[in-house]
Amino acid sequence: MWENAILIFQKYMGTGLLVIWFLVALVYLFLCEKDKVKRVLFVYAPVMVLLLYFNPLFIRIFMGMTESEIYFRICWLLPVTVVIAYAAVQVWGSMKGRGALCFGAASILLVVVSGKLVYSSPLYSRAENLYHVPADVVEICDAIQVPGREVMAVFPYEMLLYVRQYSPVVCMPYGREAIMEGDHALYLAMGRAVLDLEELVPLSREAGCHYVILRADADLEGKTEDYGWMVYGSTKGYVIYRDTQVELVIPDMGGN
Amino acid sequence: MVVQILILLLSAVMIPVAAGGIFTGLPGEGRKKGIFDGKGWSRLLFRWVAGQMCLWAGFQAICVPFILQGRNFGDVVNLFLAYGAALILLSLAREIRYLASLPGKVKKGAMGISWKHKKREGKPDKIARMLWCCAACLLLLQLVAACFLAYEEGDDAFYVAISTSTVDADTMYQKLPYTGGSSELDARHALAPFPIWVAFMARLTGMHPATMAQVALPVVLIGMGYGIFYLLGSRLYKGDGRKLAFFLIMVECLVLFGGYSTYSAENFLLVRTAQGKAVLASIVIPFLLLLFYLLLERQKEGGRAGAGCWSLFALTMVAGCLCSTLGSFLTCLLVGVAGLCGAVCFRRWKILLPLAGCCVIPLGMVFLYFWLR
Repeated sequence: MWENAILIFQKYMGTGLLVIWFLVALVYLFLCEKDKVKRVLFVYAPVMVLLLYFNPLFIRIFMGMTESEIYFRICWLLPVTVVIAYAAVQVWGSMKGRGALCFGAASILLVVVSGKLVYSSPLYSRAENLYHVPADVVEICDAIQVPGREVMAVFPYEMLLYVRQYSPVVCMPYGREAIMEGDHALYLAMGRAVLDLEELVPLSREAGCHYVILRADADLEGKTEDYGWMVYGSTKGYVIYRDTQVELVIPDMGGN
Repeated sequence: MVVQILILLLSAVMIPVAAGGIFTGLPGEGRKKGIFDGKGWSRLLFRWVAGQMCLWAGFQAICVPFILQGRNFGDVVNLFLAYGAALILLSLAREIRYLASLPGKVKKGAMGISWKHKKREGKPDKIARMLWCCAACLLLLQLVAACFLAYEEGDDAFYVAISTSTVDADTMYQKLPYTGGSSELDARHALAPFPIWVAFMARLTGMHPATMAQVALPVVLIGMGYGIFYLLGSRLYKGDGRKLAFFLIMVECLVLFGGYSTYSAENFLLVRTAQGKAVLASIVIPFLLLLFYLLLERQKEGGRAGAGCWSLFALTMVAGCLCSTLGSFLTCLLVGVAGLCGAVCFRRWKILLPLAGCCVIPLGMVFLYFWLR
């Protein structure tokens, strides 16, 4: 368990440089800070949290009571940002003229070099709409939803995270848990390089899917019309198929 | 859209500011009654955050029992609106009574949000102005990025979907968020119903829950997060605008370059802003740190913390429970560690008892979690 805690801390540290600056700041404040309040909050309390974090008994109790993957959240109690910033400002404040300017610029540069710009993550992209979900998802959900009831639809892998964020009335036979577990038969069938309709159609029908959404460039083995799948609509990159064998009763909403 | 934004401003900023008046001393009272005696922006910011903590704590107190009873989301909305109205009335009554007791000349600006004191302090110098400009630009950059950049975040498939289906179905935690299928009550997640608060905000403003979670709330919550850093900085560097501005720039750079780990609180603030755990890491815990700073400052001066101070501590901890099931444990741990360190350093053992009292509800939530699990 202790090794696990170390591994989690290493993951929390990332490159480790900023945590090193945090430790340097702690030492600096321990040696130079005279104010008791600041010493308590920026030195003693963080050191206590670190001691607790690496305490085998604490680790055993925590991991015994809850999941070990969330142990890193103990590190949120370390005021890393405040301590580094406060120590840097203290040093900067004690300097004058060019020295202060150089130190200020150097400390910002150090943060830039030691850290990693959050927005540089490849998971960031330009938002396509106010919902922050792909425009295709919005278009498809708007096309297939019917008033007064839910519909069941199966989506390709890349859309799974977004469908239910946008539409509460579009249900799916599997969601993100299928990505994590990877053992859902329909999910596996949808993920094949060549989609075999002989395999896919019975599975989607068994799940009660009214609609099946496939990539426009998907390789299909078999003709969709032969299996009762009619093209219902399409977007730039996707085709919506309506499975005519799965009944979709649209409730009478009392309108004209 | 304009109406929705106005309602958002009202519900996420103005109502908390009004409610937060309960915890700030009125201008004439100094620090005798309220925990915070700052002026101008600081005062307004403190009211905002304190009021939001009070509202979140109330939401937790209302929502969890309703979820466990299987009641409708609409019931939570109605009762929470009544709670918010009661808080505002209480705060307004306090301030009106205070204003009525003042002589006419003093009334002007007595609400404590006048900026006049700034003039007395003199204009900030050129360097300070430049630093403030940089700090403002960095903040603006993050707010713009929150609006126009989308992040592929797996957990949103769970939390945002809960908010979306709550608004639509009027039930809470009775649908599987990933697929939409019916399920038995998900009691584990129901103890920290932050997504239901997101749903409440969506219902109130009329915005789509995904827009609320991905655009509107990130702007508000990032602002609130930096507001807390500003408040902390304003205590650390009383009256030194240059240092405060440089402190904020450093903090903003550390947050912006917090992508070194997907686990860091800084990363959570920008990437998962409207998820409860991000709010815990970057708003509730820093605010508890600020409260500790104010409490220990008072201990240093030999003063006593009043009921308002302890109430705000307790409410902030309950707000932590709303954010994450682990929030109950983490807030107790922070209060225990910092409280012990403070009590030892200042030889003020008496602060431990009220601090322990503040932990009662979060500890109750911890027990409830294990009982339901």
